[in-house]
Amino acid sequence: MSTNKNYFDLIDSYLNGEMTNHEAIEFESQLQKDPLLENEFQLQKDIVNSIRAFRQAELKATLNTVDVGVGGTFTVLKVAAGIGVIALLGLGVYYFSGNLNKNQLDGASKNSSLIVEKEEAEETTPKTETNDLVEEVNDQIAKVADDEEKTIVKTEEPIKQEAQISNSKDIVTASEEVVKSEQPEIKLPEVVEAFDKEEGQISENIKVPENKLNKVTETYLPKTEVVEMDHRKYSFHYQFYNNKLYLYGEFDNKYEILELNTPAGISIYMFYKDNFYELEQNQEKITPLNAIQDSTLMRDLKTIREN
Amino acid sequence: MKDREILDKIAKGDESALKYLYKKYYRMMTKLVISNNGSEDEAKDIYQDALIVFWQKVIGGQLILTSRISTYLYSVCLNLWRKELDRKNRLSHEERDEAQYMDNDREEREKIIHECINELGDTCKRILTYYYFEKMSMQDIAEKLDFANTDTAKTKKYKCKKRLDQLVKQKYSASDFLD
Repeated sequence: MSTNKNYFDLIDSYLNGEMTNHEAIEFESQLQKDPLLENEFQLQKDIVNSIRAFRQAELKATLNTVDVGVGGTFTVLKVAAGIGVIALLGLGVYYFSGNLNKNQLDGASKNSSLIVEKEEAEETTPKTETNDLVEEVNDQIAKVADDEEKTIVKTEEPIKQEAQISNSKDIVTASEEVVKSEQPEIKLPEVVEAFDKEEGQISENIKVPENKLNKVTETYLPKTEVVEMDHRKYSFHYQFYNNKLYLYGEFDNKYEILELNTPAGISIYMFYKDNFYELEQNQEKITPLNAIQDSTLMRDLKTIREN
Repeated sequence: MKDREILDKIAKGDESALKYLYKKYYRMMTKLVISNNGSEDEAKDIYQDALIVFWQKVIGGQLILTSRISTYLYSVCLNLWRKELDRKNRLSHEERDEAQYMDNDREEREKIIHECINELGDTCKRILTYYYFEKMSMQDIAEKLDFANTDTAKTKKYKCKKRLDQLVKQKYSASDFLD
């Protein structure tokens, strides 16, 4: 039976979803009547499913070879990577000036190439700082580190050379460690705590009772979890969902969340590009962000934010 | 690359476009799972699954995309993750054990067939996976694998499948799966 091409085709087109509903129903009733066919069908089903699983695994393996950047997922990493770059750069500048002095004393001509390379290294920084992509930051780190080491190798100060190499390596490892250790953290934005001072200036508008202020800072840690979302339709919107704040649009992490404890509960405000926005926690629908116009409230929020 | 370009390339089974897409939205899609109680590994898994579904549908001509690719992927990720969370919540321990037991049996058989697939030549592997997984038409398979025509592809596919069946039956009987 298994050599019957007709059966083979039937099973095949059934398993590949090529039958019409009517054909499929007919085939199924045939299966019930014919245990041999049923047996063969089960085997074929296993085989076809395994071929699919095989291909699925193959594609997954292919995807796993794609470099998505060192854990390209978290903004925290950007910061860590940025720190790494800055640290390396600082070292570079320090080292450069050190060498320059030495070279000036020597009056050697070979250091012109050194200077050129150093400048190249420096030029990469502004790019890095404005860039959004983690992997690019990492590339830049690698580049800066590379330049660093090249330069170092070219200088002819064996003792200092060693020290510098090991230094720069230390820094690279250090920044990598930061990256690793922060990985499982979900990004928490900088939350401004502003409860301790300037009680006098807080007006009725925000309604923070003075006697509560200090207590609040001790017992309450503001921790609104913020998720930045890219969305085609919503460019400057927010919503609260599952106690998380979703911001739609390109904020580049440049917002600050202010949480204020008021008698009515916690009020959440956002500061972004010179404007304040009130975020209503019961707002589960995606809502446009509108800047607060009330000047008294704005002044108070400003005072709080600056402290 | 624009969406259109990516779609065209994927429709032709161009894996480099798939990789490009994977990298492009990696952060955005994994963030979705991670910010909804998922681990990074789970996030990656879900995203890869979503992307592969997309790949399959585009190649098989089963998808007419009316939105942007990112929007589509996002909603697939969301659905897959919801399903996964449901599955995690729903299964009681007992059911989980039972499912595990069934899985083991299935996995064992899958492993044997997997070995058999590996014994096939590269062309056979390509034909069978393109046919059963990507559901490419015989014409597309012929083009992709430089066969003279559709009939050659059909004949080859038939032979490859027969060969695989044979291998599987041999191994099955050796491990007592078939009565």
